[in-house]
Amino acid sequence: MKKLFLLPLAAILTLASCDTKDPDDTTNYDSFTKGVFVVHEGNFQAGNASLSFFNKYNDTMSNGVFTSVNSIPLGDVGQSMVTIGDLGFIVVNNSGKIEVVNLEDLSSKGTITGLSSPRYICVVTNTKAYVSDLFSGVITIFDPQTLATSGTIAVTGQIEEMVKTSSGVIAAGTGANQVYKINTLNNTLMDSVNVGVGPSNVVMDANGKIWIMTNGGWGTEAQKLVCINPVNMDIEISLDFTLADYPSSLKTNAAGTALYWANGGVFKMDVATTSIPTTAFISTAAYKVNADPETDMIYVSDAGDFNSNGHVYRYTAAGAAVDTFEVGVIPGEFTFTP
Amino acid sequence: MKNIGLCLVFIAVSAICFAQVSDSLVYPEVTVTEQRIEEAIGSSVSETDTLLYKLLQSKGLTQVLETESFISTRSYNPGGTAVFSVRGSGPQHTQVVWDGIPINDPMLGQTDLSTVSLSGVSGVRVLYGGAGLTNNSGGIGGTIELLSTKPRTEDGVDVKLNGYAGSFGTYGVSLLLRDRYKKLFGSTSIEYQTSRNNFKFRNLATIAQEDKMLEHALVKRIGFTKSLGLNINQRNTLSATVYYSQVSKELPPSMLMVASIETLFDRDIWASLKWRRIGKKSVITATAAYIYGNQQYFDQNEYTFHHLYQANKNLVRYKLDLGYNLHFEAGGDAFNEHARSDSSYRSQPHWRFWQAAFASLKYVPKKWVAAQVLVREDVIDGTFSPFQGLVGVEVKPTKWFSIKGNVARNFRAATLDDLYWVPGGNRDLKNETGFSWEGGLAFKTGIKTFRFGFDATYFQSEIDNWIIWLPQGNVWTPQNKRAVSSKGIETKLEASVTTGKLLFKLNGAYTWVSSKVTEGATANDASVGNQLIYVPLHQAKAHFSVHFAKLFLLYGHQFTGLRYTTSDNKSSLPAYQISYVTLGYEYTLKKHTMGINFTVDNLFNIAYQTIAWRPMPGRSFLINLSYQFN
Repeated sequence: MKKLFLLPLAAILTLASCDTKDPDDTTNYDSFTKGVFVVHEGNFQAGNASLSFFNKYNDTMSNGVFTSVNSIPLGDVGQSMVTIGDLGFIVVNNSGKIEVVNLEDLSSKGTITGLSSPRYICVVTNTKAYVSDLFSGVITIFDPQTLATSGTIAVTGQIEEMVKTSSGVIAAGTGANQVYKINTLNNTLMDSVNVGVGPSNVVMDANGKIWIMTNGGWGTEAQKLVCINPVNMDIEISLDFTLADYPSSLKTNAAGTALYWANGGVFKMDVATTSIPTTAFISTAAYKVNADPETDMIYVSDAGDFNSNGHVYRYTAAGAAVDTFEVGVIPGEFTFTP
Repeated sequence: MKNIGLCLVFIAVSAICFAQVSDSLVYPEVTVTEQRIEEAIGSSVSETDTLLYKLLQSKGLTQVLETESFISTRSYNPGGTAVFSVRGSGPQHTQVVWDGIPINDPMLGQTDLSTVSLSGVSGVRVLYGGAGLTNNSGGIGGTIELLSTKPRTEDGVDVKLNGYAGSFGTYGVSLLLRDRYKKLFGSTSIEYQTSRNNFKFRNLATIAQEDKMLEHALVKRIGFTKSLGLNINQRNTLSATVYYSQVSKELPPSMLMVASIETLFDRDIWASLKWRRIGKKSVITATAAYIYGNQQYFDQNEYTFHHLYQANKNLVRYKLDLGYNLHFEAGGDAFNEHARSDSSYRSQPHWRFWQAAFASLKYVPKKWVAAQVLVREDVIDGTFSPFQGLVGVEVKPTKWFSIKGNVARNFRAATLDDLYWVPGGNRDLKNETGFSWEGGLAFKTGIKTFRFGFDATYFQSEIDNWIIWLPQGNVWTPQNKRAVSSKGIETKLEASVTTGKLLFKLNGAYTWVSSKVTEGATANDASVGNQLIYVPLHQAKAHFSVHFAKLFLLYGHQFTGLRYTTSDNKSSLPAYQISYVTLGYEYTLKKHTMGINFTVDNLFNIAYQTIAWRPMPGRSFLINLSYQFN
């Protein structure tokens, strides 16, 4: 009887101990401000692009979050995403638009339209960003605050990824086999260098050097991994993959001291190394890869048969598997909140 | 035993389903799939009905097949690129033949139904499963036959002129002229059709869900067919036919795209020279054909493509009546295909040489049983294909009841795109192999004022080495990595009743198709055990017509079940039902016949999609005027 009497008290104490939330804590744990977005390409012309969000507060993955919040589909071919302040910019390639959302609740802030085949955004300042494009022959300039486009930079052919450096923006000119350097003050091309056929991925390492991965013209030549100095655009390292390799998704670790890419599995190369590793760092079906700049955790996407829900695998920086989440159709780029 | 039970259950279900539909139906003269002893024995064949074909001809081949067969079609917009599925297979598993000549695009291995002009095509027949093996290989799902206009049998001229206009900027005109003078005969047909397709739809992809007008969806089609023939003597006939079709299409944006200025131009030329000799007990036919296809795609960007393929195809068929109810047939094909594409093959030309031979023996007595054995072998670029064959039996123990069945083995060769696409083409691909069987029963009875027919077929097919394109890093490449199993039930019912001067006709069909991946491309392939995308599990269609002298009223109703849009079956398009009604009248004065038809399509203004985010038109109207001189 005495024990029975103690039960409600124990329950109250247990419940109280579960609620460890600081009463002064105003953090919205359900917001989209601390986590990882997974941009899903979906199938070309199928309109099943989507957005997932991995919430770092509670380690949960939520799928289709853009549609859940805004009650409309994201669009056709989700390409990439960046965050600028409290806004998220989702590039939807075949819909020719950028969906802009509030990161607090993911509600729609607006849509930037009039783009041809947008691919990636490079944030220059809080009031200026560039959007690359596959087909328009221009890089479009827009203001992330007003969402208004303010001009274009004429280029030759397709432009893929871009990265901002202290001496300008470096852009991968896939169509013209050139890596461009753009003066961000007057939005003009300053310089260019030929690094091989089809430069696509660009990242900056801890030393401020730019690493570029080419696509080889889809079989025209072996793909290359090239390091250039963004100041003088000199090629410092140029490494060839074999013709049997089809690497993609070049990224850096949090410190910028190592490169990751997907080529069947996940490959890792120290930036001080001058030879391409031949064995995978993580053996898994990898479509895209990226590393969390805060925790260095490695995120890998597996697109399965490219017509069904894919998976995201998480690994420690040492390559140990952590967990797996089912996500949407063709999980592509990972975007980490600041 | 389990399958037989399942079969019976679905026959019962289909009958119930039909009964439910028929309660609300009213409709016309329709044809029915009918077992044809001259086709592969024990196989299913459906052929277009004369009246329905006449009504649907202006709407194109997609609509004809959707309405009058068990085929499931889907298109990006009316008149837009259209593909289809026969018995749960893919569009590449069905051969389209024109007068016995395979016309599938060798690059894609399929035919875009929207590019086929029905000018000079008098009807369409669908051979299901292995029934097409006599004509060609590759038709694992089936074969669609485009039947050319038959020549006049008597001296003289007849003319058919048809003009129509309807909603969304649709209008067109077609002319068919046939003539014969003693030993010379011929036909000429011309078709012009255009539609702006600027219909309103609700854009579900926007927050406001505003009504929007479909833009950039203009379709223009020109078709021309000329045929000339000469009866050299009583036994020998020589004929030549040229078919020309060109379609220019604007490709409209989906609901998820702001705009599009993409266009596609398609030109097809098919030409044949045919010699036929009819002997006392034999018939020999030799055909030399030229097939040309050209597609040009343009968009607002720098991406364009030009595909060109040409082929010469030579076919010989020999039929011999051996006596004792035995009929022997043998044939050989020699094809030479050539394709070039600036985008797919980077302007590199590719050739393929294809030979085939087959032999068939049929036992067809006048009484109650018929049987057939067929063997076939193809040689592609010097490599022997898997052995193909068909064994079929049909038994008709009474006048009103028959059963049939066949077992067939078929294959499909990789397309030229599969082999040579740059980058990623895989020259080491194996052929897909298909094994199929079917069994069915049919009831047919009737008296002077009442006719009734019902038949049901259960089919099953297993396709191995299914080719699927998967990425290797940045590059997509085709691989033999899947197996697919399809099974299903096809049921048909037709009935007609005459009361006084009134004739009532009812025709219905129900299809259940389960087409599932049985072997995945990867260890964790989510498609395994799931229905193939865009293959509806259930489809039903029915037509009811009332005829009073030359006046008729026709009501058609069509149900298409849920279709999955991803291979893990986690996304789908909902089922939809659409219906249409036609009122028609014909007036004949001596040799002149004039007709008028008024049709309301999508009568209940249903919003539906056959491809995700591609709106289809709501209610529309079409008026059709025809004149015939005979």
